[in-house]
Amino acid sequence: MKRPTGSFFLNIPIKKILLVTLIIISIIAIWEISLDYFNIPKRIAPKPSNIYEFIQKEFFTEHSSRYQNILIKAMYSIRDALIGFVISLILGTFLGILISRSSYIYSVLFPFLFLTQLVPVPALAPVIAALLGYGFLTKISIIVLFTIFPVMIAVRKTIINLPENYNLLLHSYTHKNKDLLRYLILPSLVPTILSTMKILCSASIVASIITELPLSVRTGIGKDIYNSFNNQIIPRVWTSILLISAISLIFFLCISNLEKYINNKYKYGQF
Amino acid sequence: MGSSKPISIKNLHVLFNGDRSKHLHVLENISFTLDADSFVTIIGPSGCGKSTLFRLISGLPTKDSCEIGGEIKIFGKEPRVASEDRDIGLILQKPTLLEWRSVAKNMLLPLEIMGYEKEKGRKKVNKLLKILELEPYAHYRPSELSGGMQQKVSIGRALAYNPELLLMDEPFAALDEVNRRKMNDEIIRIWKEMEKTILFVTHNIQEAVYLSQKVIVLSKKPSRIYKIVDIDLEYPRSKVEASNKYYKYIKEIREYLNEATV
Repeated sequence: MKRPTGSFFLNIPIKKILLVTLIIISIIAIWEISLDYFNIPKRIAPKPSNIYEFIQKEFFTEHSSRYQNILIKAMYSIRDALIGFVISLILGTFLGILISRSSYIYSVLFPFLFLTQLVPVPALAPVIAALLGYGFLTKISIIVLFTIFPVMIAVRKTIINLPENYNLLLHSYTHKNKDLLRYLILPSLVPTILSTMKILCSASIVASIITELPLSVRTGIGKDIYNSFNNQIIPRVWTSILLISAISLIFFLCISNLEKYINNKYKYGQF
Repeated sequence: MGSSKPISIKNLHVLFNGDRSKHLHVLENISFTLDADSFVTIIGPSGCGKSTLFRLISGLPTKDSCEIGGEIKIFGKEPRVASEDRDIGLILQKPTLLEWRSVAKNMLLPLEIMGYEKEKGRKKVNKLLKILELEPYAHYRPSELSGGMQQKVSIGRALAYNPELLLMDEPFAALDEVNRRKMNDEIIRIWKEMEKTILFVTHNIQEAVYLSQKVIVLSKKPSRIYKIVDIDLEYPRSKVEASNKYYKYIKEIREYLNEATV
């Protein structure tokens, strides 16, 4: 019997690609026509042709090489989102394991972390900035605070729901926590961590962009969207949003395929 | 291990402390011993505390609200110490195999945890795969095997570190009749070949008589030893299972179980 190995690469049928392309073209066409038809002002929404003109000017003219374009600014935001994403994943997994192993730590830590989820990011930013300054460190801390909670909860839930017979078996071999962690807990957490990564990828990008507004970070697409909106450069705002959405989507698809590949090939956490 | 008995239990009693002073007496005054290389089965009505007894003998953690009295010794040691000394091999009701490890790697698991040299461990596992006739499936994933084969792998895993005592908690309960019989013959073959002491828990009277030299019948809660029946039949049991004596044992144990449940 041939064992399923999974595939890391996209395997989308041509029909589906054509259908999606057709839908996108139709939306763009309806968008272009309806703005003219309903006389919608540019400050509310630009036409796709305006966005196209802006993209031409921003990326493909001599003018674009003279200053930092939105792609470079987006990359700064993505870099910070990625740093926050990795820290959240590692720290969240560690804390999730900790609160699942000790009810005392859970009762101490959980209310505090839950409270951070109730406060909106812009409100939390000045509090953390007062401690860590208005720069990079605060930005990363806020991204981590914004994204760590689902990781912790998912990790804890997976550990406390591990089938009892597996816990008993491992207990009959070892009483050392490090062995339980290595042979049972960490492999069982792989699917949970992978599916949490999908939630985290867009959440960390959103957190990275929102955090730029109250902080004095100069580079970053969040700040650029805010400034462009204030200066009424609406096509720039929309292009930035489309760019960020495209990057988030690519990020999500990569993680989604990685998840399928690892789950099919290695079968971690399957009982 | 010297001359100590594989299992020696004296006046064991277990009390679960429930909510609002509700106490549940699970086991009461349980005493028995197992001789080396013997095959003994514990049988009793559902919920009589067989699994609690199994857990205590295995040295596995019990509920915090559990009060335990009496003495359990495994080769003269506390069950937890015996478990740490690898005197006990555990086979649970479910095969409990790790899907992310192949058949061979599942059998290697306890040896890896014990810090065995990789090559030495692999040789041991290869030998066991041969004995258990699992060699062609060494690189399969557990889910690619039938229920009986999976349980065979879990037996192999328990045998990997060569424990003297095998504790089996209804290991073939989920199998159909044909596979259960096959596995019964298999476990007798392993027991004879490897000279182990086996304590087998079941609620199937035929299985108990087919496998063991001695059957311990437990009563309903609070569970006591109702009767110990010596099965004086030769092996292989497939040769005597049509005999009157065989059926007499089944009838006798069924009667004891009926009386013990009243």
